[in-house]
Amino acid sequence: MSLTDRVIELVQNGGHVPESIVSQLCQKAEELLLEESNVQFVHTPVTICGDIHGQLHDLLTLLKTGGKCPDTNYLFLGDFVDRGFYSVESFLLLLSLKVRYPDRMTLIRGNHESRQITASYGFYDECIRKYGSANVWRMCCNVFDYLSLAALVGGPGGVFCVHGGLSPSITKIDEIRSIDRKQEVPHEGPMCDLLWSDPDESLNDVTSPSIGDMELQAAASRDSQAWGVSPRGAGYLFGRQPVEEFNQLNNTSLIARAHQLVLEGYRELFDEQLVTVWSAPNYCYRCGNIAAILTIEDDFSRTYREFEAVEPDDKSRVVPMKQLTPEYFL
Amino acid sequence: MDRAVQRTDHDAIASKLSAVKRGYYEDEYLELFCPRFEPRLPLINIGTWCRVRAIDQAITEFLEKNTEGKTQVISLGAGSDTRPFHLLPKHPNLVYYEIDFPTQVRKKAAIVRRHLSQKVELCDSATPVTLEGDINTSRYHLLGQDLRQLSLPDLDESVPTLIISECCLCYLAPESSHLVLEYFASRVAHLSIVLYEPIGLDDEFGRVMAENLMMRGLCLPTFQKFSTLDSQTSRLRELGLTHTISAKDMEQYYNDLPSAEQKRIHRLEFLDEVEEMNLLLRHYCVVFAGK
Repeated sequence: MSLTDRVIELVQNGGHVPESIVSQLCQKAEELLLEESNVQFVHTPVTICGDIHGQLHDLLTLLKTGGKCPDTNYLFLGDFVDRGFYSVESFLLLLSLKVRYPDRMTLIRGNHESRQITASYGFYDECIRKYGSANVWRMCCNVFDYLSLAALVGGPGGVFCVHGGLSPSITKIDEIRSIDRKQEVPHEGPMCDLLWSDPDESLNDVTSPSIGDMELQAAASRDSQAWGVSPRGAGYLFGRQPVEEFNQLNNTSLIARAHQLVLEGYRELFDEQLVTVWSAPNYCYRCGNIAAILTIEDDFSRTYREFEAVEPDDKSRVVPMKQLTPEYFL
Repeated sequence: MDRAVQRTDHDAIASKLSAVKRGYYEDEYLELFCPRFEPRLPLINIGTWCRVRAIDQAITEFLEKNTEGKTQVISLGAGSDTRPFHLLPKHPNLVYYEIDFPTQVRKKAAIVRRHLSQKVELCDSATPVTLEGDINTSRYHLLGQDLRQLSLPDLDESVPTLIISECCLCYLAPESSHLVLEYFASRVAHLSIVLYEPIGLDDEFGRVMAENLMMRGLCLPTFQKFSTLDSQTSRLRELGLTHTISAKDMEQYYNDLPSAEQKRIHRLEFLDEVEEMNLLLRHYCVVFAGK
């Protein structure tokens, strides 16, 4: 049995993937990802998926809902790890599929595919817990550095795909190609913005309270009505105008991104020029939301499919009791 | 269920310590009650800080309104709360009551006796030592009682009094929590109450929340009965506390914070969970009302 088939089988059956296998898999993945460009071109039809966050059982539901890889061509928009209890397994499963079917599985980087973020949002702790050392975490983080920053689905009139959103320092897709991506996600600059930014419908709305303070003006000199300060502490908020300009200038019809929890699984904004796709149902075993995936057909028409969190007979299999952290105010 | 409720004190105090360690606010006494630092997610730190801030604000407002003569604060299910040790030295006319399960009080009393006796003026008063571990000084009363059998024979009913329930009454059956509040409403003429409670059981998030807390052995009976901000407010109004000073869900509270404060906390750590945080904060409220 090949390396990837072994990992896929192990993960699907709740098994432990030995460190030596992780090491081989990561090495293969790095070789493959090294060849991919910052903006990876993806053919239609393709099924676009949002955040997974270590919810392995829901990822398996997603793959059932969307169809088996390689029968279905997948594009995952990052945030494979952190928060959920099975970040290691979720990432290894996706990575195995990538190595096994490189042309039918595209993975781009999310803001959680970073050393700093995974150190505080669960993935690091999970690796230590499951492997007794930081080796697996380190290997996976090295792979993160090789992931593409964005994807372009189809030719003219296609879909620009990114984890977070736009950057005030990027107007044309070609400008992304000149970024040296093989590094930890920086705290600022275009690479950071692509992975951290969010759309905001209240921007460009002249009646809304202006966020036009000094920070903002310094940060986004082009148009203070179009860009805002992100409450996340990284990236920007962007309004309708940057979205329209970006699509027009780059001959795209849609920006598909993830990054934000939407309770209904997906949400189109700015007259359907941008969509948020969210693929972690009942996020953090707490939010009660449904999840969705988006298929872009050859004619760029969109089909959304929704799915709910797994409710297995034995819930403790999905949510280990001991680790059910008190994420409420008690 | 009682054990599970008692465990919530550890969660609350550990979350507070995490927020303090991350720089959201200061509280030098917390580590006496929670020696181990368990880092929490930014959204929990922010929500915890908002909760502390909202209750503190109500206390400050109450104390500022009643600067003449004696005042009382009565904290229900106080657990390891450190407020009296900050407030008593600063407000010489304040008398502070803390009421919690006897097991909780025993633990707290030991720590207070060892480390904080000066703050509560334990030395300079004739302190009757009770078997329960209760502490009674002239200005500080740490009482081990089940709120369902509340009895405060020595309570001065004639002075301005503030009742605090910071995630406490929500664990009682509605009838019991009503009896507790009525105990004070029927006795104290000059009464204010501040409640911090979960709300919003009627959506998916609330449903999952009730389910997850149930897995930890916690049920929230009043969550069902007082599941909206309005019902929390009118619950106090019906007790005669008709003057609603503020009533907000915590998302609103957070959004209404002075922008300088928001900016300060945005600098403390990356907040990757904005939507999730709003969702969570929307399911808690703070209601402050007076007679």
